[in-house]
Amino acid sequence: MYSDLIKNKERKMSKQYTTRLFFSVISLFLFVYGCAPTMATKGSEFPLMYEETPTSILILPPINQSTAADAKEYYATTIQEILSYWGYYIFPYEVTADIFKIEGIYDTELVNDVPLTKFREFFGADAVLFTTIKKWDLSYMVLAANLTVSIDAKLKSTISDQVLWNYNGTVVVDLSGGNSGGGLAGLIANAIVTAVQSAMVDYVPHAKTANYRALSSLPYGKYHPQYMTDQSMQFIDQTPNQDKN
Amino acid sequence: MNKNIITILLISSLSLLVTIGCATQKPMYYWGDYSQSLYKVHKDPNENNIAEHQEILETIIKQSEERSLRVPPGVYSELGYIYAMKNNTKEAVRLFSLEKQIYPESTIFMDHMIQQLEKRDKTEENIQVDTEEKVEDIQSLETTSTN
Repeated sequence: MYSDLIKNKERKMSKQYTTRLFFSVISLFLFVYGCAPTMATKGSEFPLMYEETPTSILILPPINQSTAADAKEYYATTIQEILSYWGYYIFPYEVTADIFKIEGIYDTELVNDVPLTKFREFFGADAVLFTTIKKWDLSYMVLAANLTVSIDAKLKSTISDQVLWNYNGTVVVDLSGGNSGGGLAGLIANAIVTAVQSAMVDYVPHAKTANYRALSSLPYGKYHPQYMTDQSMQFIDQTPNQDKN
Repeated sequence: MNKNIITILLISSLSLLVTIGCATQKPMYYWGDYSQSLYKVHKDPNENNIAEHQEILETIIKQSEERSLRVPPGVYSELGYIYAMKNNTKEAVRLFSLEKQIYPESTIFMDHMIQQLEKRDKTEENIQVDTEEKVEDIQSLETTSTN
């Protein structure tokens, strides 16, 4: 009778254990797959990056198709810093953009017509980054503000003329920052802070965030500790297959 | 019961690894307020803003050295370009050479920049020599005419 009780207790324990294990496995599974419907790996999406292994990137002035006149400046002043964290040698944007200006290929789409080998000859660049800003919108809601940035970016090889990496997607940055807590009062306080912040116009950190997210699928370069070991790294595939050129 | 403790231990050590792993990774670069001050220059390229941005670039170099980090790509050459614009060729060439040293990928570009500066200095010297000669010519003309 007594041993039966112990057995029963053990059975209960193991049942509890199984349920716990079951839930942790499920939650792990959900964590990995749940929020990401179409995942891709860097290695399978951008194999040329690992074949050509470019080490230096020249950033071209972006083409601004958005209605925000400032979008180009926000992109231009934040991309150098953010892109450097991927571990490539990045040519000094301020200097190269000035040279393009002197050559008369700034502010126009003319830069697209320059043969890629020219960038190799004059700068020694392995790859060139082309960017079109399609959308740069601020939207204000009652209790929040968002910055929506749509970017079309392409990294082209100066050796093979091929597209090594591309991104075509939209990033939404929450401008209201962290929730300050305190229920409804906190939310309202947050909204006021958001409105004040929007009036002060300091979008530099948000532009950085937008650039950072747009670059997330770019394989790492020579100066990054994970250089040539990130092929299996996953990212959310925002680029439908038909748009890859 | 034992198994339970083991799973809890495993999970907690795993999550600890994840948080510590991310936290202790040394940042690759020190950029300071680079983007912020550059945006100001783009918005309003007045002398104050340019001087402030130059200071930021100098700080990045100093701070990177102090933290034993590699100076971020393009910082030496951007500062060098500012010196070049102020006709300080010596300092510009020094900075362009430093960029080449830590980033050999920049060699072709930096060599082009150094070449251009040397060419510019030469033509400036020639202009100076030219004007000196002209002054002499005029002086000699004047002396001959008074004679």
